[in-house]
Amino acid sequence: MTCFIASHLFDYKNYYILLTVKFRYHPLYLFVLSLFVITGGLHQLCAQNLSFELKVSPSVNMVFNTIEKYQNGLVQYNFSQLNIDADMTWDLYVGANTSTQDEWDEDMRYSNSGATPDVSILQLRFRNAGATSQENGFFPLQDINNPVYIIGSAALNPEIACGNVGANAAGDYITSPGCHQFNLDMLIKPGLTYRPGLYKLEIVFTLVENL
Amino acid sequence: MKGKFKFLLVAALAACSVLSAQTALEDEEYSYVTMDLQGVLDLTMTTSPQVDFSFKTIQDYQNGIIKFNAVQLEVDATVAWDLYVYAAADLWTQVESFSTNGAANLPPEILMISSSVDNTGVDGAAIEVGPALQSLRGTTNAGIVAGAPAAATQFLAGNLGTVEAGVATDAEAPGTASGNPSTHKFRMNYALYPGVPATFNNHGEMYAGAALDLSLLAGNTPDYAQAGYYYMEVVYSLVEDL
Repeated sequence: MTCFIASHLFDYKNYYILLTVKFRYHPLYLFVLSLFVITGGLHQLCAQNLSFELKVSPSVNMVFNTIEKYQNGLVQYNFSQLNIDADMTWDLYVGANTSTQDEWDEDMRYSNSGATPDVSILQLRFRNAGATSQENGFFPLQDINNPVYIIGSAALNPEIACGNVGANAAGDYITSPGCHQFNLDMLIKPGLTYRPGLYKLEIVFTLVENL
Repeated sequence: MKGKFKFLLVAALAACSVLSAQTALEDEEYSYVTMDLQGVLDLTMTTSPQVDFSFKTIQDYQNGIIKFNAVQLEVDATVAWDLYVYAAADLWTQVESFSTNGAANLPPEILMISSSVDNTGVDGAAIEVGPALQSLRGTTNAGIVAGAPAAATQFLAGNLGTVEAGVATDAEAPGTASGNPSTHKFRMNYALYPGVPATFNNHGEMYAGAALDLSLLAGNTPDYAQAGYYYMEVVYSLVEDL
């Protein structure tokens, strides 16, 4: 019981000292200590890393105040950068997280005419030196429940080496930026059918182990 | 000792398998996007803002002068909209008189207007303008108060009242003039028919249902227009569907 409580109070090093004092010559001590040391070491041995991070400001504000902007759209180049660090094959997908599926969240309404904008008016482009994105050029954003896969798919995929479309091999953005780093561009082209107002949405980028 | 080593090995493998049996590794990042869709209403007059009528001959007075495409308007909008017209005053302004007799007070209604876009037949209370000439209403006759339209206002597009675009016909849908020339481009015709003498009573109406009669205006004796130089301002107002 002491051990159980101690495991919540101390880190591994302190835990070892506590056990030494209390169970110095007990056979059970050797078993527990051995198991603990081994699993701790194995945790380091077996642990694998899969992470990424956004570089550059993750908040983007687009203002449409002329007919030309409505019709031609606004582009935000390099609005963000995804840096990937993976010890195994991986998938990358993106989707919009909103209160109502496929619609932007409304903060303020300027008019009663028109419909709530669809998330698909926001288009993304994933660029890297290796051109590994499975989506060539701008593509419409979809709800996170129906995400767009940039790398891989929902199924288990074979390993694809760097330099090919859909490359999902292990690596990191420092040693192989051409495959593990993406520069993101955003295009919003509302057209004239949507209701004026202030809208928002959250873009979710998910990096997941290829299983 | 050998037994202990085997035991530890088994324990290590078991621990490793437990660690490996964890759920798939996953990481997420988020980006937040705000989009400010500001309402845009652009009314552009592609022609000269000044239209001149000059009556120099009896034929001009008798037959009148009509100016086709005197004014061309283009509407670009991101919201449902209405377009209405009225004279900025209840009388023409006389700059100079060329004679000592005649009536100096001319109502805006002597100017006849028509539009290439047929807005007639649209349900609603206001007056609709179409291809047929009709008198331009002055501020009072049009019911304009502080620039806002009323049931007596002449609408070139849409009508009085707020209705969602596309649901009813009393509002024009968002769009551009280049993309919707039949509904978002207006070619306005202007006409003046003075007659001899210049009573203007052969065309138009003083107000709804009443023929033009200059003698009805205070200070107008006799009932024909005084020769002179006059001007009047015509207001085209583009508003969100109201």
